Amino acid sequence: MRFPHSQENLVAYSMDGSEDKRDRVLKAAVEVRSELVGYARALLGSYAAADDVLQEAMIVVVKKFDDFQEGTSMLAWCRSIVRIEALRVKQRYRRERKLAERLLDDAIDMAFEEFQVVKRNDEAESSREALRACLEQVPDRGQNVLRARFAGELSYQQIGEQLGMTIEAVRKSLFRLKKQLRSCVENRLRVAQ
Amino acid sequence: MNDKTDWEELIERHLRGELSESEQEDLVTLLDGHASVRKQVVEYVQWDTEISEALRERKHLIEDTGSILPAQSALHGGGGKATVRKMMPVAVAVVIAVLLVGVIFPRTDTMLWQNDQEDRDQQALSSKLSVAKITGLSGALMWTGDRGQIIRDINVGTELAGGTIEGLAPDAWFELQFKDGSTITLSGASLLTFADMGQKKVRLREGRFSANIKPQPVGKPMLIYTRSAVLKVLGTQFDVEADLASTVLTVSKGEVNLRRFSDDSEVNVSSEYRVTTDTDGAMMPVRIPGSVHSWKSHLHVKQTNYGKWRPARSQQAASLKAIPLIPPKNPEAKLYLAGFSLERGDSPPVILLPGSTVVVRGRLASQARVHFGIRVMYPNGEFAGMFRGDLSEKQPLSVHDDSGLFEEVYSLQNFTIDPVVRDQKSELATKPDNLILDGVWAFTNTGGPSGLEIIEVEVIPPQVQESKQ
Repeated sequence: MRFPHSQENLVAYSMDGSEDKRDRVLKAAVEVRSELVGYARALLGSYAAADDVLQEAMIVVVKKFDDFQEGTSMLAWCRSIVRIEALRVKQRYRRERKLAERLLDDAIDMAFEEFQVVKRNDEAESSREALRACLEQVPDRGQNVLRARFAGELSYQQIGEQLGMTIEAVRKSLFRLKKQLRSCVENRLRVAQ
Repeated sequence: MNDKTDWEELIERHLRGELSESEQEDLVTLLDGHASVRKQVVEYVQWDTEISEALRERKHLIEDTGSILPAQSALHGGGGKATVRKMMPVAVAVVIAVLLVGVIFPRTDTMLWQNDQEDRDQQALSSKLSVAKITGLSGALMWTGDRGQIIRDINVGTELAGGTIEGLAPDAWFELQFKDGSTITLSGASLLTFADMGQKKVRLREGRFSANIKPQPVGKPMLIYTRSAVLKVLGTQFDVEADLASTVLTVSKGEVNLRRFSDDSEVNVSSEYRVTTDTDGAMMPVRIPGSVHSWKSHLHVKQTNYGKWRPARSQQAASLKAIPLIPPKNPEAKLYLAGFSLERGDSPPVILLPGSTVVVRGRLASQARVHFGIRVMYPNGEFAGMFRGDLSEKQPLSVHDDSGLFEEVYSLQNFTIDPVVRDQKSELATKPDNLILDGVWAFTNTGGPSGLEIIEVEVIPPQVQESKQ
């Protein structure tokens, strides 16, 4: 069972009525998990590192749930926790952060604050379903490229070496595949409506 | 390459951890200069992440991929964590289960203790690498260092290495002094990143600061970045106010060069002049407008300082609703506070004449004493102090009416130094008389929400009061 799909556990727990606010906060935090991974990833680059940060952040959410002001944005509150945890990870793995990197973190942070939106649960689920279906349609070679990049987080050079492609071919292939996936998902969602 | 290709290429490479320092700066410039790029970058990363999640969900694909994962660095590329990642779903399920039965708390306490210990270690390290020190402060501050370390326990004299310092509330202010004696004073909720490795570089993400900069080394002017412009400073006195869209620069002494990101246009701003980047055409410095002594807030325009802004609704004026604030020096207290800084832009400075009256109009959901404070600055833009209108015995207590509306009247002569800056009173003004009004805030301290909303704040000078009488 993966973390994002553990919501049912949290929801079930929230039914016992013993810790109302904590349950509501946890449930709401889990509902924005995907957005938080995206934010953490924008700060850290790697999905694996972002995933680790999310787990640390969720522990903080549990500990500090009472600080959350109901009626305010859960996404914004969680983002501030994720930001601190992401900085801790950077500190652990990198001795020095240059000014440019800090400025970039700030600029990314502002962009997310300004433009990140939370999908409704049903929208998010439809989108995931559509993406799964579209991924099934990708030919084997394309799937190898995608999973090497997105699941394995390999560099273009490493993907090229593994799959016998030039770096430029990897770049073009990923660009094309992502574009195809996006239009496939959009078509499916349009038809479903 | 056009901007689109630029940002796509840069963000893609950023996600792979491949950007050089200058490319990081390029991406910052693109993000700062173009709202459309910020929007598209957020969508791009989110879409990228959705694909990652979908692919990782498919267990058989992850297992297949395991065979081609070489060891990689911890941050960029998690290939070396393949085994860990395979175990992650199980581990996560265990963590969640533990969280849900509440067993996590002893462990979390330990982790937090470790973090406190880390903070102390980081403080010692920061002191060794110091580029500036805190020479005055009040309110809640947080410093995040170059290496990601975080210090919340900041005091006068704390030495700081390059990093980001954040004022967390409208009653926060701090003065930062660089090694060469140059000072920067920030007030209100604000966020400033700074470094000094032979050349001072500062980024004001939001808020306002005033600066008194000593002459800088030849060829190495101090650089101040905001989201809309970069300022070059050789040595002068000025203040800067920045928000998402614009920067307002007011120069009281010397000259500052400002370059606007959106069109790369530049302008030199001289003493007693002000310029704003928020114009469609050429930037034209204008002489600082003469001061006024009367003032009324304009809360129908969105305020973003501290509190929840509520636009005007039918038969209800726009307001700024108080939100919780836990004072760092008294964590047991839970205040409900709303506050904002006075807009500069084209507005003339508001000078508080002796004998003026300050009127606060607002709404309360339940009976509560409304505490009120002001922040003032000297004519050169330097922070001058904070004063409270509610502490003197002579201040009347108003009661709200049936609809919850109240009006509090405070005489300037009865304002007293805010306790939070009492430690620095020898360095600050003793009275707000003849100083420039910079910010206002109101709060209740009833232990819970009081429904406090500020609808309007007005400054009435003595001659107007006399004519009204």
